[in-house]
Amino acid sequence: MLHDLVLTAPLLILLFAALFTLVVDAFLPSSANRSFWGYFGAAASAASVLAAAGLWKFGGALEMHTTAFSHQLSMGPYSLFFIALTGICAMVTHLSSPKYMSEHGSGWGEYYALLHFAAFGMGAMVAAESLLTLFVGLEIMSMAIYVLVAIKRTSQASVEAGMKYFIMGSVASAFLLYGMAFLYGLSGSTGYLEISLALAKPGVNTLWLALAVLLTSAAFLFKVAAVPFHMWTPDAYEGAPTPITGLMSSAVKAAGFAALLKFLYACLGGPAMSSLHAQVPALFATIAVVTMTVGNLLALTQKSAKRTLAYSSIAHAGYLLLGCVAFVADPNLPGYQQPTGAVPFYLVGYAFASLAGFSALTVLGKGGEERTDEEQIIGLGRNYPFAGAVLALAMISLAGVPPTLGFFGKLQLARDVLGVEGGKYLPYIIILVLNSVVSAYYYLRITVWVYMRPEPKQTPEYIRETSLQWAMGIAAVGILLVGILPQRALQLGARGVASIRTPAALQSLRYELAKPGAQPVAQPVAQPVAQPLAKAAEAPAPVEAKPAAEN
Amino acid sequence: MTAIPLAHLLILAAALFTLGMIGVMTRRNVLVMLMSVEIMLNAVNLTLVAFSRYHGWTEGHVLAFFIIAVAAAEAAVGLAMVLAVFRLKQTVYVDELKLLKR
Repeated sequence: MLHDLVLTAPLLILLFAALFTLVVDAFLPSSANRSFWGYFGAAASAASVLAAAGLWKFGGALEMHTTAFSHQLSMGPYSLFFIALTGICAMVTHLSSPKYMSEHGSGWGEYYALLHFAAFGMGAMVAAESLLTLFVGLEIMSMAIYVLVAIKRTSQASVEAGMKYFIMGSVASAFLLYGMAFLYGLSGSTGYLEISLALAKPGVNTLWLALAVLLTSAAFLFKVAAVPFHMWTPDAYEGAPTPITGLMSSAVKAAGFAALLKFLYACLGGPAMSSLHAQVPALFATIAVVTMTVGNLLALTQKSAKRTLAYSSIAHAGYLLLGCVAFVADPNLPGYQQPTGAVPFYLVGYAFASLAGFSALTVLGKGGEERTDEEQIIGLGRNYPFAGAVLALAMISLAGVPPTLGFFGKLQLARDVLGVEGGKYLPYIIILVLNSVVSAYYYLRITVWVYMRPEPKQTPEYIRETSLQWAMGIAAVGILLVGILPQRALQLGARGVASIRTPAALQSLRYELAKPGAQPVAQPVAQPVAQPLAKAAEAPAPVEAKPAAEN
Repeated sequence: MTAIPLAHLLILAAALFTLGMIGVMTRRNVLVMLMSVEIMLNAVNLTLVAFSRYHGWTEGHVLAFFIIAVAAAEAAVGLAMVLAVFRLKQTVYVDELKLLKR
């Protein structure tokens, strides 16, 4: 039990920070200035990131195995990597919020508590080792984000955006659950490992498996805003408070992709999906190129910077989905390469760039009015040089201009995908390159607004606040730091991906456990594997019965 | 008493799920849309419980319980959102909301 608590410390810190904020805020007088919650929230998120880093560094030395709470959560390098990433995103969001939210009349304590709950849910869904934890984590995150989008209660755009996001999101959850129900029906279990072992056995009904994969993927595609399910994105991004938009495009996207990859790789990867290996990678690649093209083309036509970045986030979802192809590829084909850390690495780059972009746009929200059109952004470079520089840096990184992180990220993605089936996906890579050329136009257009336009007669007022400057600073330092040392981030990401508990990885884990001195670890790992196998021996026909439902 | 076959339960659940989906897509009243989502979630619960009985293992029941709890939370958030929209616009019909029309 203590072991579980130590292992999940990064998540528990967020949970207790949320509860503490809720309880203490209830006893504050309503006239109190609540901006200190922003600093408290940033400190709690930082503590969670440090705890994750500590577990990464010393978890091995303590001879801890990486799953907690009866294999519901795994806190291996992969989970810790993404918990740290979403923790940093939450920290920047906390710092950029206080002044903006009080200008918009809703800087109450529950806002910060909901941010903590959202970060907690993200951590739980990334760390999930079973469908149950995945679902609960996803819902904790989503529910907090729905409310955060609609939290500007006096703004029609905010409330309607929240409503739209909520209705579509709950339909997506229903799809996810229906897919999960079929996976449970096919395998007789809800654990990733047990499902992948059960599905690897011959005789699994392909039709039902395909249905389950489609339903669950659809829900994830909704969360990361990929094309057939992207309609909510521009409205929700525009209506939400700008700091929350930053969180949605960085942390929610990162958590969605991280959970999707783990689900595809640990639960359905390898032999489990062998009957679908011809179709699933092609499906993902097609959705990827459609998503990036639609996102980029629509972004070209936008006038407001916030909406442009919303469409740009759809385009980036497309780039990342192409990276996912490497995770669903058939490992039995010649020339197969294990996926490297390209997708986690790209997510780090994209998260920092979009956080920097949206925190720089937050300065435009003075006086409860918020517009992010050309007129507001013109002159930002002269009147508020720091915000202008951060915005320009973010745009350059998002565009993928060579010395920045965006460029290295795309390069790695391309390298990863080229390794699949001997370069079968080369045409898709070419479309990716063309897309990033098109996207440079609208990113550089915003940079031109910042610096190269004659100053308007009256300059808009900006939010000038210390914590917001810290937020911009952290995001900008993130872009520069990882841009200068891409290798380090890439290695961390690769180590994370290598640690996902696929059945193949389990073999090496068993090998580790066979070494002397690892006795207490062996027990819990062996147990859940044995159970479904024994069950399957008793009831050998879980699959044949299902087609009967069609008759 | 003979046991109800798995297929019958699955067909019923699939019919309920489809019904809920059609409801979300065609109805314009937000409250009815929320109810349709609840029907979809309950169809999933029925599927899970049917599979659970078929496998003779309780994991499906556990998942169904969690879904019931989360659905309750979702209803709370959804109704709060409907209330917030109603305060601003005096309507619960999505046709009259600017953003949802697109």
